[in-house]
Amino acid sequence: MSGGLHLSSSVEVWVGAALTLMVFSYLWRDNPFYKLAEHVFVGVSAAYVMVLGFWTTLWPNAIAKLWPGAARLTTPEAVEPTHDWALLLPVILGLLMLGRLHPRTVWLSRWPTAFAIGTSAGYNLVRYLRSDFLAQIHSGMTPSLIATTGGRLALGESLSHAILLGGTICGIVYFTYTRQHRGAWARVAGTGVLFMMVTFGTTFGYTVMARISLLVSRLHFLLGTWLGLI
Amino acid sequence: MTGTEHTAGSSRRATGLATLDRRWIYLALAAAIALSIVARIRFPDTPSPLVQAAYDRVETLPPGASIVMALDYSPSSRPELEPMAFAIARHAMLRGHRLILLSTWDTGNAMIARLCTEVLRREFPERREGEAWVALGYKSGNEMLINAIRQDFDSMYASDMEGRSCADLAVLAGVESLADCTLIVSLSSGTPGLKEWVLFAGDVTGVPVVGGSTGVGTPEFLPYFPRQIRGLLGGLKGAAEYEAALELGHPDFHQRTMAATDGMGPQAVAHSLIVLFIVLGNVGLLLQRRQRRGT
Repeated sequence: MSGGLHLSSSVEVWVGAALTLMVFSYLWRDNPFYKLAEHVFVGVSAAYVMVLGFWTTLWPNAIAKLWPGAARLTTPEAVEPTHDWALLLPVILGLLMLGRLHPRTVWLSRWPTAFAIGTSAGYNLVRYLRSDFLAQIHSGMTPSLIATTGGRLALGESLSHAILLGGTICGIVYFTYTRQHRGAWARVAGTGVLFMMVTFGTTFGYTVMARISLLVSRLHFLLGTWLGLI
Repeated sequence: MTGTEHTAGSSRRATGLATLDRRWIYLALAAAIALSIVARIRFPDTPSPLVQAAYDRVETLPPGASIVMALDYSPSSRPELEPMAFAIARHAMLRGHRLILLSTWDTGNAMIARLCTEVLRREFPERREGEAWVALGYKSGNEMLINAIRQDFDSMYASDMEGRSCADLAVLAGVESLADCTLIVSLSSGTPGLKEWVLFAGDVTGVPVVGGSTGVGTPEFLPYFPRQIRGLLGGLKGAAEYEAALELGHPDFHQRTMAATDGMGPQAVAHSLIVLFIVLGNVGLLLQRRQRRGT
């Protein structure tokens, strides 16, 4: 412990500390300070995304390639990109999206929206089918009994695989609605519910850890960077 | 104490616990964490198999291997993911690998800039920018960006964050697409993130993917280990374990900051307090039930 207050002289740190305390004040009750911090966050985020999107994507990947001389306006040493007229198509689609700004031109935005949804759905269907369905089935097809290099049964690993297999089967049984859950079938489905409860518990535990991590970080900032107590 | 007094006392305790203002709990939690931060409480950590697998993947790559590291997170998840980025970047630099930094998140540029300033330029000045590492930064497009650079880096990244032409950078020599990379590291707190890197890059190109996720997202990625994700760092604990692995594997190297290890002490104290509150809440419930039966 360094002992004593060593307040930061940085304006940036003071603004950060003030905004942190404003947000924390919501724990007491809703108040104007919290509202102010909330609005500042929303406004700054929107402006940041817009400006960054223009300078990192729209300018170098569209404007500079349609009008190569433009690249030198911002970075004189930059290599002049070659013309790429094919980019006119996405640029036009992007401009059509702005049709949403007026009720009479909303229909124009349906074309780029349809394009975006269609291509995303097509790409995602193939990828999800391959990685989330087929690859997961492959991963689940593991032998339940594992032997060590000495030929003995690797008890821990075998048990782990058996639980994985059992949990998968019980979970699938629970979500099988074409057969009524009765008798032994219901007991297997019930075990599936137990496995799911364990999963939800794990997720909740991880969530608690994540939230506490954020609190630890903010308090570390307030106590260390701002107040200089550590 | 007579039987009536005893019942009245239990009743008051039960009612007190049931009506306890939640703000006392917030205050107790904040105080416990603040005290443990000031007291610098630390607990030793050992790498779990998930984290060890990620560490081994970086450790066993031949020097000069090109690693794509995607920092797909925002300031709100920085406390969990930045220590991972710092530890993995240090490890890559120590092992002589080439690091290509990019992001599919618009907030990624600031995260990359912090990594460059705090770790790469400050701790490894001999590993020069453009030769040992490059910050390509953010581009929009989400998973379509990953899809595009899977085929051709140049189509999306003509220059780095400083405006230098990628064609002139030695670090990118021989790297024309994601398939030319040796490892993909995705540190993510949402979509697009680790899942998209597995779906659109790792599973398609065969380039191994190692990931780090916030605590909230970690359970979602566990089924991908070990076939589709070769190593996984889950939340602050995962980051602390990686720092421990780096300490064990490279004892001569001093890690200037170990934010995750520092954060796990207060974390453990907070968890203990939460468990205590859960126990107290249940005791209160039992007392109330007994009270109801008594009346």
